[in-house]
Amino acid sequence: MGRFDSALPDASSLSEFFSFAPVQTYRLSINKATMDRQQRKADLIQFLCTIQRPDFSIEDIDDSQSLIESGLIDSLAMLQIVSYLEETYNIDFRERGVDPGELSSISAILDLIEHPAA
Amino acid sequence: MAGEITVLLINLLIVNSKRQSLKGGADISLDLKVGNLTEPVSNRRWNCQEISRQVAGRIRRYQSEGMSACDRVFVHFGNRLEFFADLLAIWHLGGCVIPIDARLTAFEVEMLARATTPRFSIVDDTTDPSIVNQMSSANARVYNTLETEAHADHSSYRTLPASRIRMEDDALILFTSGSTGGPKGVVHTHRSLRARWEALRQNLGLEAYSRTLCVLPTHFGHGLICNCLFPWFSGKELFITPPFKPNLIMQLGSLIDKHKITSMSSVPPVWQLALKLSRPPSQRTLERVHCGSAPLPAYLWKEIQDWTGIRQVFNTYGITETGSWVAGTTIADFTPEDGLIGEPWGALIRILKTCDTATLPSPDAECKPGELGYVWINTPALMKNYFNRDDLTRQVVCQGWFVPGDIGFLDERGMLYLKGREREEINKGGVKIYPDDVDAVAKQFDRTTDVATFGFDDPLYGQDIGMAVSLMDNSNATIRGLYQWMKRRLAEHKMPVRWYLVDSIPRTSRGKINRISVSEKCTQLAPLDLRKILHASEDGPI
Repeated sequence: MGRFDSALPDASSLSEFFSFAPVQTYRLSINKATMDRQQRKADLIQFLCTIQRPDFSIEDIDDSQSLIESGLIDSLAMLQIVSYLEETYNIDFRERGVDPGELSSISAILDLIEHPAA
Repeated sequence: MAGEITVLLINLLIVNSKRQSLKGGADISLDLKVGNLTEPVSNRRWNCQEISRQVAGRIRRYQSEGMSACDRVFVHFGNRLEFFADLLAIWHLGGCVIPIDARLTAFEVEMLARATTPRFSIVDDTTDPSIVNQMSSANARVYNTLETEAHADHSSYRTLPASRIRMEDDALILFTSGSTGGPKGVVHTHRSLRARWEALRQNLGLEAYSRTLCVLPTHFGHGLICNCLFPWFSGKELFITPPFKPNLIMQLGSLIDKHKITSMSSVPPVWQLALKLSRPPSQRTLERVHCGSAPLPAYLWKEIQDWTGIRQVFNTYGITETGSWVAGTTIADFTPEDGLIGEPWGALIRILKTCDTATLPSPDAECKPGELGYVWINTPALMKNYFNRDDLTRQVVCQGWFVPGDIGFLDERGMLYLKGREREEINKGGVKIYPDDVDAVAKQFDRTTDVATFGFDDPLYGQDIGMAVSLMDNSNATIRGLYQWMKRRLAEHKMPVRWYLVDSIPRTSRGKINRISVSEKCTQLAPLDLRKILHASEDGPI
């Protein structure tokens, strides 16, 4: 881990470090909203496979592990995750803002999908 | 104490080629003094007094270790307070700073070290041990910047050696390509750097830069010379973050508000992220934004203006060889347009029908307003040369005129527009990647018969890297071998993300790779599923 990674506050302290835009609106497509978590997870993993570093194995990463710190994805791939969530689940990040911690792991992303206004 | 600090900073920064004191009639009109430094993420802050203490400690330490004038010094880290203290200390002792991209592999660093034979190598606690070993093997003396505290006491600054800066000496070498063989290092002298800062002061003023944010890496010209050193050496406060961290960019609006940022520079991908994920700043402190190193589409430009709430969003044209920012949109009234740059800053810009630098073109080679041609730039901030590569220098410099390989036109007002380039470089989010660098590594793999790297359009980065490769056999094992071979030798951002297996590489009649043809050929093919191949157990052909 590089110095700057270690120097960065974790997601919770980032919330204190920066003020976040208030959550205003969100939209959730009905089809996707009715999916169960397992299906959403399978879809998410399928997507992550398209943006991951090819020599890493997503099977080796547990749901709560950091996608970036584990080396699975490049930090810039977060933008691709955002695009995926916007297109698949109609989450409008420009409206709601985002905490980096909400995109940090598979379980965090699934929580975000299930509770986009949280 | 304050007087001593002032003396120190003047000694560090105000000297001329004849080593005259400032009072002794130096011919330098540019008054340089440093401002405070802050790391917003760690909340560390050095005021001028602490900066002086840190610099003095390093001067003492490096002098005691034998650093002397004209020594070349690798600095393997950036974007932290210590980087700037090291820069000033090395300069004070007459040395030349070579900032090294911390993402480079040991193989690439070895190539750069072979080309420049640095006597010293300054690392920090994040430097990979393989790099430290590599530098030791290259006979460079390696020092950790964090171990200078013992030298940074408050004993008299008067015990420091006199500044050894001479205006014509090499100050910076910035590598732009060739990290895998034949490194191309842009050499700037103290004079060329000061010419750049003076031009920027004259054309941009200083008021907008009182609290400047840098989210760009400090190992390349745009981030270092212009975003950081221009305001900082003008006494303005510099806020330095880790380079382009998405989780920071997501909070850009809050960061601007919290630290009352008045100016910043950027590359287009910063805005791809910020516009989508960060709320805009609300405190109205921001006065000016620069965006450069890659084309800025008009739609994105307007969105940045909307997000920031300011009109002064300058599309900024800069090349490392010209000390970066050499033109931009400082015209009084403008509407964002694709390709619009604006007016020169401390430079003459001409558009000519030729890019041949063998002789200075005749006046009739000049294009008419609106007519596309090659950009030629004349600026006192032009680099001295490419380090030990006069052959390459001659290809782009002719009697003080520099030909960057960009294609554009000047309109009736003399405003510069850029419409393309004739260079082969791949511009990945503002970071230039040279296909030859990637090709050189892939070619060295013993199962490679031919290879050609090319850029393809990417919605996030603007361009990303594709590679067509011809192998002796197309087995999974061979592809895996090539991947591992390249990964050990290339920085991650230079690794091709799309791989294509081809039987042959299209070449011109003169045997040169035709990268456009290669790219077109590959768009007809499906890229390899690298993930599948790298995890496959069987070694059969694809």
